[in-house]
Amino acid sequence: MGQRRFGTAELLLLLSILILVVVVAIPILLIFWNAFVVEGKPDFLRALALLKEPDTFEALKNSLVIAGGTTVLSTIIGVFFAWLVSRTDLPYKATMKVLFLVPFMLPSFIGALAWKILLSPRGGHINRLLMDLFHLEDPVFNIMSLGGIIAVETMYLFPFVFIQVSGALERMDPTLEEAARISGAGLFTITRRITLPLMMPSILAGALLVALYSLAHFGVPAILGTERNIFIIPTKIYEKIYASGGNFDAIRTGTMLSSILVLAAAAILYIQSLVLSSGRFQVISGKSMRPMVLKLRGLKWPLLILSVLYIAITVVLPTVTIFLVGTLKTYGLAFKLENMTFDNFTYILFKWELTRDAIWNSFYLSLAAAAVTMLIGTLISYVLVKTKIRGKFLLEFLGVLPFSVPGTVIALGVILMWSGRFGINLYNTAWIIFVAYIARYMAFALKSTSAALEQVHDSLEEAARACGATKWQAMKDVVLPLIKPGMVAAFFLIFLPALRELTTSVLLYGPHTRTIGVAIYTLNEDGETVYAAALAAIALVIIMLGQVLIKRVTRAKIEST
Amino acid sequence: MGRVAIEGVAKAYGPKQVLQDLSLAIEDGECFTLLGPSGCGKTVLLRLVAGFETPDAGEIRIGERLVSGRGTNVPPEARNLGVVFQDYAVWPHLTVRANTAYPLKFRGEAPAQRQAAVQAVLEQVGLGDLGERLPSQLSGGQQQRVALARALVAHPEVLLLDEPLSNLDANLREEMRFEIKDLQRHHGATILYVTHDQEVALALSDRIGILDQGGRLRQVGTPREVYDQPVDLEVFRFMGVSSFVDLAFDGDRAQVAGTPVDVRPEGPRPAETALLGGFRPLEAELVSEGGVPGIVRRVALLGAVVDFRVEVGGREVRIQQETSEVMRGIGLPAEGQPCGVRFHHLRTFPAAALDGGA
Repeated sequence: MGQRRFGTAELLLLLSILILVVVVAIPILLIFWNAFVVEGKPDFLRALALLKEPDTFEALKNSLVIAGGTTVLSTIIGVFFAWLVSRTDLPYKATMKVLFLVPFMLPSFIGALAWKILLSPRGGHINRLLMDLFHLEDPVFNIMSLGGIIAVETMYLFPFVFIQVSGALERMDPTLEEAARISGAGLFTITRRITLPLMMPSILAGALLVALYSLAHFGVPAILGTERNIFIIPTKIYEKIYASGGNFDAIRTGTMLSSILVLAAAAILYIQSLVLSSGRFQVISGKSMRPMVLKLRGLKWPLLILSVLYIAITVVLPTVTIFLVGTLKTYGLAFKLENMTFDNFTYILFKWELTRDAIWNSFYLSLAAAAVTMLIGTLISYVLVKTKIRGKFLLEFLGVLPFSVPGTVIALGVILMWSGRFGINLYNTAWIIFVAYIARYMAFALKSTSAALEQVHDSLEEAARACGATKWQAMKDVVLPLIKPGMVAAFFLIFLPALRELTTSVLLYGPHTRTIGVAIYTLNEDGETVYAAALAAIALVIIMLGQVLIKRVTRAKIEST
Repeated sequence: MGRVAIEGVAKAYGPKQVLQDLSLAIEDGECFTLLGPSGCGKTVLLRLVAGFETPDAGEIRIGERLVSGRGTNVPPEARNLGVVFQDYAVWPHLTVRANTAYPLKFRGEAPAQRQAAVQAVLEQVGLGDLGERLPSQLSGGQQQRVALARALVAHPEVLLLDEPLSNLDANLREEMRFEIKDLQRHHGATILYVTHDQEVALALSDRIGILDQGGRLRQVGTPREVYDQPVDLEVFRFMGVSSFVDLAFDGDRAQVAGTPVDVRPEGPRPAETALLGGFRPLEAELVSEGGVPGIVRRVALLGAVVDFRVEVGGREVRIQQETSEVMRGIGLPAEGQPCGVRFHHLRTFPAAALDGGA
């Protein structure tokens, strides 16, 4: 502020804009440029022609089917379980509620790997078991199909709906339902006419998140679909880029498909913002109240068993499978003690360069990306939330971009930008993954730090100024300590997903820059199922340890305040 | 010293002109209250003095020093101020002691002296034993005291208070306003106090400045002056509950509904402007004989006082009278009963101001 034309605030704004332009905006622009501009002239007809090619068209269709199916199925399951744990007298409700969130922490491509081991048409363990038992000619299940992909994605994405809806159900003012009851409405009528309409924004918000993730998701369709020639947009992009060997038409098709993803994501986010601002949320207050609870009576235990079975099948079974397969001496041997060994784990952890490198790469890349993204995110959020400055709208616009860019698109964008076009070639180095991670996880950092900054009222900073502190001292003594929990949260919100990330790095890895996700994926592709499973098991252990660590850190924070 | 001089200050936010050509001087050691409805720009003026905002035009001086204007803009940290905010702005991550000690960090005193100064000011605000508490463990009133202690600890020349009592409940508010007064006497700082609460302003201030909705300074004076001799109808209405009756003149003699009454100021009236007589609820009473004829419309026994709404000369007015006095005199009248009203004193205002303002 002040009367200076160009002060610190202006400098920070420029810096923030510059970072977002370089990291996010230019890569996206390059994607659109390559998709729609041929030899310096816009050419939409050619772009359309590419889309009409049978294989791209098929991928588009599959994406719609899978995203649609996953969204519908996740919504049904999510709403049902949310209602069960928040509005009925289901035994062990609190425990079940925590258990339903576990799938969130597990990387879905590891789940897909487990399900492939269990349910692939020929070699799947469960299929073989059933065929032996009932002397069947054909396998019972085929997980490597559109339906299978939808089922596996649903297992890992339904918590989006579950969290939104159970939260809203708990915060809903019970008097709204009681009023209906006093007016003589039965429970079924109340649910249909009062509760469900009130929950609609939450249900929609959760469903849209599922759609967004499913549309941009790479791992599950890559592991379950690619072998069977089932492609969706992200896996098609991957295939085009890898099969191309630099062929320009292939890259153009990739950029075309990416453009579609970006536009679809932007549309979904736009609809979501409309839903959330529709104002119907106002009946849901911030404080917790005791909701009306439905007595399940005779259904109590059957429903509990159903819930436990659901968790057992979707969480425990795949996890156990991964650990067991990881110990086998050779894939295909029966699960007997004499066929099992821990050597696979020691080999992967300490001896095999490929996997050892992958673990190390993932670790330092996630750490560096989390730290840097968190700091940049804090800077940008500060300018966005705390400064009054002309030209801020530009930053506000740029700040929305990271939210609508799927991982595959980021990867393609950084390839276009950092492969020498602007004099810097990072291709095949760890740096290109690092840059991509910053772009991909910027949204997390912005969300977390801007929320923290909004809680720090301006007067707290001004009080420090009035006490004699300069702008920087006030920042150091007051603002930073107060937003530290938000910054720590941002760090972990980036570090843990980055550690298990596959979608972005699979397009960017070089001979020595595999990440854990890439290593598991390529091992699986090469038929090294046992090592893939063993590495996946190690990844699961690391993720669980990370989750425990977060709990510790955040709980310590809560207790100290 | 701690004189604050504001000369021709203007401030606009976008197209909205908040303050325009405002001049005001607050004397050294004075407790000055800026009183005005919300949105009148009083907080903006405080923020200009504090240095959180820069005026578009005009000058601000603290003591002999020019702090804003003529291309100068001294940052807040160099103005030697204490500020107490409406929302307390006590730092939640620091203890009471650390909050209070913060301003001393920039004064270069010895640690032992600092400790003593902090303890002394904490004792003054009644938080001597709570130094190690975190703000989240304190009540609203206690947090407000921490904010006061922090503003006072470095003995600033000028203390700026922005509605510091509005988040407190009524009892606490009353208690705190006396404490602020005591603290000011003790520390001798110049106080600029901003509020929309005329009771606090009257109780606390040496002088009061009244800002209207448009950010113009209507009247500056002692509490007695602004309460008793308001310059215009708007100030009068703003300073408390007020009622009006239509005045007629028979020569120099004022009448309400044909009955002669006393008005101030006295003297001849211009015949062409219609005038109103304004009074507070306690400045009139119901009488059994004589007085201006009226009809009791509503009676509410509030405890120590009885609240009447009476129709006099076509206008409904509010009158309050001590309950014991009413009982001794006319007794509680029924609603709809005719009565007489005696006015202790009526202030005259042009009638156009009321109709324009209403």
